[in-house]
Amino acid sequence: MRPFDWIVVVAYIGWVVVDGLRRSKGTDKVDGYFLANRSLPWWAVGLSVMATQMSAVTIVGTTGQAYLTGLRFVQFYFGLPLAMVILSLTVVPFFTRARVYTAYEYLERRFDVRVRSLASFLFLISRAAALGVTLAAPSVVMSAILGWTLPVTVLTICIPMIIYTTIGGVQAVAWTDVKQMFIVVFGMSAAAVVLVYGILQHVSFGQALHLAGATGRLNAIDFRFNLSETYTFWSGMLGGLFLMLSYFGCDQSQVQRYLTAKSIDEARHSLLMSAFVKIPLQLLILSCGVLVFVFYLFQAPPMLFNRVHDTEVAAGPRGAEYAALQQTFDAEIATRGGAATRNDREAFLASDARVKAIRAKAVGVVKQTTGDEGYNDVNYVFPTFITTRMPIGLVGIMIAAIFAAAMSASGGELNALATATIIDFYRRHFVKVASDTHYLMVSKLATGFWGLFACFVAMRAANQGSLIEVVNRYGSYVYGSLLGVFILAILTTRATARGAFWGLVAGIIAVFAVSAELPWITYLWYNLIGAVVVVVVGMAISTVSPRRNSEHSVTSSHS
Amino acid sequence: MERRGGRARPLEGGAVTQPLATSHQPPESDTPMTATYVRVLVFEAAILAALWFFGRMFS
Repeated sequence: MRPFDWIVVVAYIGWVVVDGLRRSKGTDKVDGYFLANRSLPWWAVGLSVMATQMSAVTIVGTTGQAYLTGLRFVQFYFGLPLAMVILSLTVVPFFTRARVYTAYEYLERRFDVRVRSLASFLFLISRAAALGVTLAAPSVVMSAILGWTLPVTVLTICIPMIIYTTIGGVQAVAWTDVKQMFIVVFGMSAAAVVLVYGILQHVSFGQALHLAGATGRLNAIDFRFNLSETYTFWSGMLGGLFLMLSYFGCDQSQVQRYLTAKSIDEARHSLLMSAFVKIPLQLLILSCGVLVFVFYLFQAPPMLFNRVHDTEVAAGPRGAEYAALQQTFDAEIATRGGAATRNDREAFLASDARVKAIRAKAVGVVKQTTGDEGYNDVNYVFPTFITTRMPIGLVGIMIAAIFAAAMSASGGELNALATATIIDFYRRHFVKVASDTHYLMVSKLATGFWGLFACFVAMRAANQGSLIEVVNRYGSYVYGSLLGVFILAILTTRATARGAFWGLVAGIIAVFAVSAELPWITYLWYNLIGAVVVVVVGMAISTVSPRRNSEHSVTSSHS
Repeated sequence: MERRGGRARPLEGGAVTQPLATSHQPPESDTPMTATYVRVLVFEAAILAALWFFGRMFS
């Protein structure tokens, strides 16, 4: 990176932190710290909702995934628009009228404190783990670019984020999210323009699309019903629907977003913004990954995009073999590029298959040399393109976008972790009577604690394959079951606290059992499985167990 | 149902909490949005159809 790019990065991150702190005005009470005094406009909440869900994992992991497999990952979001409609009709007015700080606070009103505490606990552990992973992605990128150690890069991202989140609360988080969305959309659009410009120097755009299509990268929709296939129309519409319902309806990091809106209507609009914008935005990001593939048909790519391992392996005991693979790779890349330019489909596909085989051998050499059996370089594809092919200034903006994405997404999650910790555990179980000032102070301490915990997890999560899959896999272990509990709470008056509690336990056990005994079922289906098991077991137990006097049978929110 | 704000309220086991300071009550504007919901679903259907044709065209 050139000095000007660094100026852009430092200036943007500095602006984000300073503006985040400036917006901490009005957060001197817990209502302001956690819910921005319910004063945010719908468009800011909507952008915050999207930014919280779209972290640096999306930019780094999704583009890499598209480079390898094309647009099919977009199916993951097919359930989102319908989920937003359902949530707008159900939980949004429900939680808004309930005047809660956390989604789980409502569960005690409906059932009892056991259900609330278990649900909140599951949120804390799953979200804390996922938070670490979402911090790991940009840390890996920065490590590769700067040659820093992973702990240093993790702390470089974490410390500014912890500062403005701890001091500014949800207001700082939300307005940082707004900035992030603008920089990400601008950056990805600029990347797409650079890619298309580079491709057009060699082939027409139509030919470029045919080349991508020949390798299957433009087949976005797979209608096969196959539980082993991760991304299909059915896993997205059904499994993804349940994932989105649970994530946006029951995960505190998202519920807290729309609780900051001025009214029910504004909260609805904030979610419906995602319904309209999320899939097109995701297509833009995935398209950049596909365009990177086409771009590298005519500009020689590295054999392996993880350049740190590249150096280590070349200097290792199998260096000669690796060098020979490199020479074969270079020759085959030229062959593939020639076939692509000539529009010779058969020769192109044959050469592309050979390129894949050479890369697979190179990956094998890396794994054996470094001992890293989980090695893959999918997360380095787009950052490599950014730092080696994009013009000066835009490199800085893209790197800033990646850092900003990491900070804003994790800031929202951090704020939610602190909220659940204080409201659902500290205030509920330990210090039940205290001043607002006291609760505000411990809220900030909790924010700092979770931030440091996330740093620790990030340092251990960096090499776990495609990070976007890791993040969503972590969530899928509990999301569906949490959704099941809220279904019992909101949609039926017959569910009892005992039924909800043991139903939730059964749901978690069922998902873990499926993942262990039926590993061929992909993780997107875990959400559906968890929700169904919770509802079925919960209703069965509710039917045979009497309701306790302390429970509430009504499901309507109070006015 | 328990209400937040106002006075202290009893919880399970007799524990009592004081409510946190509450903010002003924003308007609970809650208007029907059926047309918007339909637009969302139609928009998604159009995107899915476009993606399917796009993939078929270039595969």
